[in-house]
Amino acid sequence: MNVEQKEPARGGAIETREIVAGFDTREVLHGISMQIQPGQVTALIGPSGCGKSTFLRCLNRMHELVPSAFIRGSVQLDGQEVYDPELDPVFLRRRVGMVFQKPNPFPSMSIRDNVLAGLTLTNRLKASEADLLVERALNQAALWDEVKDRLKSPGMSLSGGQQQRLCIARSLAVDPDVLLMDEPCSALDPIATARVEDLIQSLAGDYTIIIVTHNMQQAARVSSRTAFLLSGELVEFAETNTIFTSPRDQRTEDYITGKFG
Amino acid sequence: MPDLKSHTDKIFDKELAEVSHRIERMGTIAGDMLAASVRAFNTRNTTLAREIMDEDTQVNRLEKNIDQLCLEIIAKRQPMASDLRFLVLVMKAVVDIERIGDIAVNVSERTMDLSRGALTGSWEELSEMGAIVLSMVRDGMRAFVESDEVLACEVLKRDAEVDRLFVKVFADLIELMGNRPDVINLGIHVQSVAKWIERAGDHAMNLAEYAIFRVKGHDGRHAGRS
Repeated sequence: MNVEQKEPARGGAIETREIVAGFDTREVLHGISMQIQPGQVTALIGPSGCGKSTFLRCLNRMHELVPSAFIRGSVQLDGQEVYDPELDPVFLRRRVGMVFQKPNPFPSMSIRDNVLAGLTLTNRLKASEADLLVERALNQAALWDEVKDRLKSPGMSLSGGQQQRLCIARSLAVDPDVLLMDEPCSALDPIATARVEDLIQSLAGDYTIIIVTHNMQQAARVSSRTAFLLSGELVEFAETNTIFTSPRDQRTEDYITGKFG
Repeated sequence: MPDLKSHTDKIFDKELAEVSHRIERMGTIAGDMLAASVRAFNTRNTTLAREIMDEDTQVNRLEKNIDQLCLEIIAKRQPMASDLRFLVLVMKAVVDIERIGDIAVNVSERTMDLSRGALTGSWEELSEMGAIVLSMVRDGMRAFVESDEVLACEVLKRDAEVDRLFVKVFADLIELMGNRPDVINLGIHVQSVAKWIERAGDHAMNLAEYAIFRVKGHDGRHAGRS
């Protein structure tokens, strides 16, 4: 458990204060305050419907994309208010990338174009710059050696695990500080899962990673801190080793030992 | 006290209950062996001593059997928190219980040797030590199986008296052997018995410490010495 992580070389500190969020009249999060250290892997665990994914989406303002969504409270990224009306959400989402449950490469694009997709929306790149970026991002995502000879093949031609690493490469290509991962391995086989977990640990230190997972062993393996959410409340947030060996709160104990409900 | 809340997967509850049942049984057999070995020593009962030596195979078999069961559950369930602590501590506790069984055998072997010699009678302090250690083994086991932290702390407190008695027995034997060189060989056997019984007390302490770790979730062993 808990690979020792490097000192962060960059930003990516997140602080939430009393986040209250939901849809229409239904409140999903009832006031979540957390301090997430830069360069660390933080796992969010909890039963379905506890608000993990909603919380994750509040961090890069994806929650507000749902028409009925509401949010109150504060999210700060390196001291800057994420919900500042002056802040461009598109810019924010470049600093705070997201990887989803199901790999979602753009179907009509090649592997190379998928990696560059986030950049070409806002930047004009020379071909040589683009080549370097593609190689760097695919290397970071531990996919380069597997795809370097077929960069023009469709992204969809890759296996599920490779597609997920391609999506991670796409997120990394825009040089974010934070990566949000919403059950990134739930659609992958054990070998592909191990590759993604290995990747998460190799990215720690350089990026702040927040991962939502239902797989508690995965949370125990990859994260240094773990938060347990229940019914929209933060029950316990502590060192991962503590959470999985001697949690303080009986509700955490009941959940991780399978006595919940 | 035991966590009465059950797992969503009821089969997991049954598996943990089976581990608990088996280690309790192993502890009972080893405790009974130790009690009988002290009794056999005090009365120089070689028949009883021989029976104890035969019983050790049961304890050894249970040690392997419980270890295997724990391994299977860990592989299958990937337990967490109190379940993980319980299974890991069981795998440690079986080593201590098996050693208690071995000690009963060692004491029985010495009884056989002593029965052929001239050094008869029992030592009051040694009997007293045996009684305390026996209570420590039984209560240490109960504290572990029932997650009884209070009882475990009681067990830990009893060790000081065992140590005091051991020092007394040891000193008395040195004095006796100094006065009677003809019983030196046998005196060494009695000293060994005292040492074995004192060691059984240490294993009972380990069981009590596991009980506390199981309940509190932090390892209090070697407090102030590590």
